[in-house]
Amino acid sequence: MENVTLQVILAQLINGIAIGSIYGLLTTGLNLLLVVCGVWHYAYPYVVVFSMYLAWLVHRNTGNIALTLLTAFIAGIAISLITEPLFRPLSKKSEGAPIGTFILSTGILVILADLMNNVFIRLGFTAGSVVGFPQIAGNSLIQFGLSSLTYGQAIMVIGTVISVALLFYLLYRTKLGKSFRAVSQDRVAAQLLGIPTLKTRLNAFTVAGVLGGMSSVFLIIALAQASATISDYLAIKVFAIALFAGVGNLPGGLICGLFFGVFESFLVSFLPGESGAVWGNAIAFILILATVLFRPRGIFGSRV
Amino acid sequence: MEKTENILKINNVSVDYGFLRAVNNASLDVNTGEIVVLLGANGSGKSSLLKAILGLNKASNGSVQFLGKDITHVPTDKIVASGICLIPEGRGILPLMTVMENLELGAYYLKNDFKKYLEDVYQLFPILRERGKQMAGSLSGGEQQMLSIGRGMMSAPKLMMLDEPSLGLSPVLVNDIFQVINHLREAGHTILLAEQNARKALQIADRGYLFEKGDIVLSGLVKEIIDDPKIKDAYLGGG
Repeated sequence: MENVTLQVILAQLINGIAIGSIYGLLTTGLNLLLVVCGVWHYAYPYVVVFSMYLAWLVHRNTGNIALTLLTAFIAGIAISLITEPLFRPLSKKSEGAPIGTFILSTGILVILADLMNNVFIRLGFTAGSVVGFPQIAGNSLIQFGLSSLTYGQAIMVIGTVISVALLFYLLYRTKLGKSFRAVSQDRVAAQLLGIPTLKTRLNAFTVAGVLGGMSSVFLIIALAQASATISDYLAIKVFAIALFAGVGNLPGGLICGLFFGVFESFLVSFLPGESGAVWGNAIAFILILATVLFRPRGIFGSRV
Repeated sequence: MEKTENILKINNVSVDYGFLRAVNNASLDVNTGEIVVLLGANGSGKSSLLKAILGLNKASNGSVQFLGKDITHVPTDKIVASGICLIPEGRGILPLMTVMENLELGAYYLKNDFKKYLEDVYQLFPILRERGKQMAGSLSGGEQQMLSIGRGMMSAPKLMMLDEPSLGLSPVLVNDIFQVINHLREAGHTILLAEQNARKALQIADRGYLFEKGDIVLSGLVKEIIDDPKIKDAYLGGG
């Protein structure tokens, strides 16, 4: 019996790290856009899921898995860069993130959600609003009792952990990361140091795009499906995690993302029966709400 | 000052904030190796002019020439890269980065030789070497000012502009900062200094400009202007 519990714990831990890494990557992308570019990009997770839809189209026409994943990755970056000029005039002048960027982002959200929910069906691409991918690397790598670790999960956990490590390296060891942090702490001081505003801005949108692209690849492997509902869920979650960690706090968002993935995963498995999935979310959000109530600047404080 | 090679030339520059004119047709120049001081009360336009030089404020009219090139409409980062640095009022350090990271970012445009300038900074401010791994925000006010100046030195600038470096420091530290500025000039730097502490500033400067409500009302060599009643009345507590 104890053995079984241990296996479940291990399986949930792996699962939690995997999903938590995605939260972490997305929260970091959101924060980067916020602090470096002054853009409140609420629709950012929608871009990620929409990239999955584009990848699905490629898969539908070619059946090539590698090409499908590549499309998801490239689409994430491309959409991010295409939308950058739209935000530029709105976020140019003031400090912080002007409300206009949030409104524009919401507009992008509506368009993307409609594309996923309606247009894909109208054009006859899909029958319903959920698109499915084949199970990638679904064979089990290690079997422990009731649960198993598939190759896909292993790839994802290793991939996300490496991405998170690279992200920390980028932020703390490279000139690019240091200029991101400098701009986030004091935009004017960063300008005085000669950090180029537009180049840094484009770089931040690119990095956010890369993080989004990687997340959509990992989500295809993890979920083997995409739907607009997933983007609703991700958007609210990532937004809430950013608030929980402290808005704009780059390492804080990354850490809290990981924490919430694992936390949720354990809640789901230890709460009885079907209620796990429902209450898991509720408890996570209550925790976030309580944090914001008592520590309005989040656990780690705003802006790092 | 025998060598009078011009490094910065400002012709009739005005800066407007909406309907408010902060700088009105200011003209001034700075020559290599000089310390030039901008005097004037709070809000008289000194900082606005310094920011206009870097393109942080748009000049409504007039032109700024640096090393013979017109930089009036050049983006700030290009101006910084070409060799002007501003050590801003309030120091502008990055509080959540380490002292070392702050200094490194000062050398943003240096391709090599980074270490050489770091040694210069450490020689002038040994405390920064000890504090290297500490968050810049945890430094005392005086240390932050040293870091800000040190960071400016890291870019090996051809012109250093300091905006109220003595603001908010104790009298002892104010003396230290003016000594540092004097030392910078001896090390070959050209300095444009905006300062309210006229008594101290005039002790180290070669030339001065006096601002009043956006206008330059007096200018010249220190020895020429120091006895002017305008300077005496307003800023030295004389008369």
